[in-house]
Amino acid sequence: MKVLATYNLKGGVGKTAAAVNLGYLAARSGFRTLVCDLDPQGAATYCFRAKAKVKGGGNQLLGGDKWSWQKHIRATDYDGLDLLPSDFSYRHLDILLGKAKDARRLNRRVRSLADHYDYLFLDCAPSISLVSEAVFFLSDVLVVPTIPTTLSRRTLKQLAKHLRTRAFDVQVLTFFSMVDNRKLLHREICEHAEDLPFPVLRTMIPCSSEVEQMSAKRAPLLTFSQTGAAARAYVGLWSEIAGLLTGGVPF
Amino acid sequence: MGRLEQGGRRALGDVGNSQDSACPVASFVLETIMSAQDIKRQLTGKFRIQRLGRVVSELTYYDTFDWRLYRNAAGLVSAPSEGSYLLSLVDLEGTTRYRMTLNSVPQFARDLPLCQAREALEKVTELRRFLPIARIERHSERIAVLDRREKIVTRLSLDRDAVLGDSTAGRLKHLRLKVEPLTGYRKEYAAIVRFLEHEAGLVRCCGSEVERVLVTAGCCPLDYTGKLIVRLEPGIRTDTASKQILVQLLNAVEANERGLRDDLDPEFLHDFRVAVRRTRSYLGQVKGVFADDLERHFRGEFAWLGKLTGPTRDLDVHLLSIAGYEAEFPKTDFELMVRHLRRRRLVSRRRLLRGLDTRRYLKLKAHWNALIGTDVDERGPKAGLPISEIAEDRIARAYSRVYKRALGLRKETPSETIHRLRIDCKRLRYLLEFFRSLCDVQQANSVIRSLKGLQDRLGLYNDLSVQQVAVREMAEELFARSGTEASVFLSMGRLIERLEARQKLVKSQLEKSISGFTGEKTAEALLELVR
Ligand SMILES: Nc1ncnc2c1ncn2[C@@H]1O[C@H](COP(=O)(O)OP(=O)(O)OP(=O)(O)O)[C@@H](O)[C@H]1O
Ligand SMILES: [Mg+2]
Repeated sequence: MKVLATYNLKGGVGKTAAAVNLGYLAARSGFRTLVCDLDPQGAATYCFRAKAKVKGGGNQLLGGDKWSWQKHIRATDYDGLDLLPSDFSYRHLDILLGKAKDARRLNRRVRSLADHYDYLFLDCAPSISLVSEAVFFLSDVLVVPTIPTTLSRRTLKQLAKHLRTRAFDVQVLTFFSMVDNRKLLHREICEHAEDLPFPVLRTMIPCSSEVEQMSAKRAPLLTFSQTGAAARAYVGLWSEIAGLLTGGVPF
Repeated sequence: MGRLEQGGRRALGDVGNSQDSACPVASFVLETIMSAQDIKRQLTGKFRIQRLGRVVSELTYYDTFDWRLYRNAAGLVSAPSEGSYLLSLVDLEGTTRYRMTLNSVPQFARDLPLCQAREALEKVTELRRFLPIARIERHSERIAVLDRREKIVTRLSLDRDAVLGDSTAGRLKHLRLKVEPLTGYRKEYAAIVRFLEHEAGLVRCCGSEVERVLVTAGCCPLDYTGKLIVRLEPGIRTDTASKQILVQLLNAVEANERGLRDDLDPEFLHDFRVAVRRTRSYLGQVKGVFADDLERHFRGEFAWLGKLTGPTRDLDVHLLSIAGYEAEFPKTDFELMVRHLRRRRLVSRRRLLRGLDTRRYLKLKAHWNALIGTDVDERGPKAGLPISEIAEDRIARAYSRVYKRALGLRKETPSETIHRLRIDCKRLRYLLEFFRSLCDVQQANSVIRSLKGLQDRLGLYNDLSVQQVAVREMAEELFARSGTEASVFLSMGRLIERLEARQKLVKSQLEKSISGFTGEKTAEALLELVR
């Protein structure tokens, strides 16, 4: 099982869009896939039309009996793709994760899913918090969408420094997101990808109104657009990532 | 080579993401297209329904020649999809336990990517190849049941199967409605199933989906097993009983011929050989059934057939066993040895196939079939005796022979004696298998079990000798050709040493198996058996 987290310190860069679409594509290529919505805002959960757990009160990820959080897994409308819906109680995760013991326990919980899934996608909220620390700790790959601006270059460097000082053993892959080729700055930054602190994937996701429609249609992009530029870009992005992970796709 | 126990249903165990494993696909029988329309109408009145459209998929079902998947309550199904193949491991009810997309359909379990499913399949199928056994075209009309949020909570599928690739091709058969449970939506699934059963009055399909498909496609699941299964009545004449056994063995010879010729997997040759050897052993041990000259003739002919298949089998075993030593040799040396063995196997296979193409072989089969295929009384002196009498006598004799030889075994016993013990054991084992139905089943099985332990070790001991000879021969051949690096010969020397060491170890373990076999429990069981 591979654990991938879509992560960026910055908000609104396309993390959820990436988690939803990559998760969908992984399942479409036959991998048993689970998307975990770790953001209390529940954008991914909404996109899959599932109900978020609002009652909270529990700490599903950590406490309770062994299966308590597997109990909440829901099939999405797509073959082979499951969802762990967002949970209001994740707000309290930070407090819970204060203890190193709990981070390890979370890791064990997540790894216990290995019998059931080939890929886990964690959709994270934008912050450096104890939750994201746990995510860095247990993920195999951080997939970092980056809007090609000067500011995002700085954010990436910040992340690189953070990962280095804490010595997290996680592979980081960035890709350019919401790229607008009419903007000179976007073009320039994309052309100098080697300046960034992490390997940058070749595929860029263009700025596209079709991606925005995902939340209105409440469905992954590929289900309503197969040939649009953005749809094709996500397919390319997935095959690039899967290729890096398994040395070729499918398998 | 381990055989699967029949009905061993645990192999697939918890493969796959079956957190909802208690909740399988539910299938309902539909009589006509009309009733399908009617059901759709009824569902629409009661639930929030969305039509997901129709799909046509071409499904190929696979199993090994000896039905190892079916025996283990599983099926393997492939469907082409977008230039690759979607491979599903299903249980007999048709619920998918594991899915993967592959660039080509795997021929053996070992061709699959490392995963849980591969582990389970390798354990079950071992060396056997997946053979396509049925091809169907499935027309599915898919329907989703939605909740208030327009989220799919259950999926239904109206399936019609048409068999491909036979005379009835294209005809649609079997109309049914399947309800697929979705993770986390059990209540909704249960509601639909309840509705279909109680309000719409549909009848649940009984029996397994895989079986239904196979039978529709004209297959006959479990029509082959490597085991010899003969039911004999104790009172019947020896010639009648003998023919019953020998016909089965001839069937096994013929059943394996195709796969052997096409070299599908090494087990075809193995089973072919076992059937030939059993036949020969029968003729040798139960004499006096047919006229004397006939018996002598066929013993000779089956000995010839056995010899014909020997070298290729030895090389198969050799290739399998040196695969276990791969890590211990420089890569190029190891590859050279394997290439050499493969070449020799090719040569010996050619010889084998030429043998199978001779008139001698055709005549053997035809004449043998003519002899054992009729139920006239034979003229041999023992032909008219009741089979139980003969069986008891033979088993008792064979056992005492093994017993004596085994007790005389010492550390310094030469390998020829061990070899003879192996042959004696095999004879006894065959007798027990021929006449199992005349014996108390439990006793017979217990004797066979303890015999098997001993036999396996003896067989391994023998294989290790054969392999040492083969490596020596290989070294000589390569040496005569010159141009081979010295390191290869060193590697071969090391391999022989390894084989020798292993053989010594096996010999020392023999004692334990022998005391197990000559122990009181086995002896008692045997006495019970032959009384
Ligand atoms: N390639 C794109 N082109 C145009 N709009 C996009 C693109 N990707 C995402 N968006 C839109 O931008 C907004 C933010 O996207 P998304 O939710 O994927 O980002 P996020 O990083 O997960 O945000 P947050 O930090 O709030 O979780 C959404 O409205 C989405 O529809
Ligand atoms: Mg988000």
